[in-house]
Amino acid sequence: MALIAHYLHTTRGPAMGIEERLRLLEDEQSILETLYAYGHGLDYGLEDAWIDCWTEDAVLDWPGRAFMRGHAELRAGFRSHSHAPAMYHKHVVMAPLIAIDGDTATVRSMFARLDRYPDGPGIRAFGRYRDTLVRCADGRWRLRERLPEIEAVRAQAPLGGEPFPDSAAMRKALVGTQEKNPGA
Amino acid sequence: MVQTPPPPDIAQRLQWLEDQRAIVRTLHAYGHTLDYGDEAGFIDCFASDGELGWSMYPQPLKGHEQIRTGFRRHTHAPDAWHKHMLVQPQVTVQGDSALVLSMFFRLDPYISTAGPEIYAFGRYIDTLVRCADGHWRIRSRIVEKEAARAEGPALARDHGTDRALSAHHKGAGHGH
Repeated sequence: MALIAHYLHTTRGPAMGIEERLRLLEDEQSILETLYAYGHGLDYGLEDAWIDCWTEDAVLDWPGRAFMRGHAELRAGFRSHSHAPAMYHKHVVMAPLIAIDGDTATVRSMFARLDRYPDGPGIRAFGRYRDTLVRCADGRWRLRERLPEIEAVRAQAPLGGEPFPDSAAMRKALVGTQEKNPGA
Repeated sequence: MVQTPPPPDIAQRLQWLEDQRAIVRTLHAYGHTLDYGDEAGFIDCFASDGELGWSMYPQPLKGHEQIRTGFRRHTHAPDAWHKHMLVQPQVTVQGDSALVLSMFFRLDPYISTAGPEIYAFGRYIDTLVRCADGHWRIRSRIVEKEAARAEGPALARDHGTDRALSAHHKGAGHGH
């Protein structure tokens, strides 16, 4: 079955009762709230709220940075990231496709990051998030795994910021914006 | 004397929410499948008699086979990275049919600015139907492209030699 067909056809069983159907809608809304909290927390420096998006054993693989596992490494990653008011940017998540299987959910969503440049706001990057979330003991859905795929990136650094760290993923994302393939 | 219809019961209210969610899921799937080249997934977004009005063609693509041909002429990852982003869908459900108005914009990489840019924005006017298997699919999508950059995206290229759909248009990869 094609990937998207999985998202279209597995979220609701044929004989679910009212309670289960309501629970599914609530789960989807709760998952969306966690996805949104990631961006708000990162952009505005809400460290505890951002850490609360993750399970204790969660992994995050930001392109060009050290692989993070667990809250301590995630917290260190958060503190190395820019936040308002020192630097204003927006991590925008869109078009989430959510598939829930019991207490685990897989989500594919599009993202774009907006930043300030000397000539005004611009798109710094876009790509896709590949996420796994789980329902935790307190009922909240948290990220167990986030694997961002960066697909296009601006070479110019935003105001007050540094260029993204060099990596194979970044070189690949620059391909579409360069006359010559820098990774070739 | 005018009789007020009874308020919807819990099951009806729940069904309305589920329908809204399922419809938006189909709209999101359209962008994901087009951007990543999931042909079967893309075709599954449309009713068998679905119509797709891409601006690159003088007439809407009608039915799965024409839509499939259009899909194959469009760019996809990893040859070209772009994002069809849909926001603010206004969904009106009436029985087994729905009208949806939504905004879209498309992001692409550009050489001239050495970065990602908005290639185009506009509006989707969609009609969806509840199919026999219970899933909502697009019966008609009208794409109103309201603004587009004159410069083509860096990685767009003509995928096709198929001239059956349009003898006039040469700008494949810009369907929306």
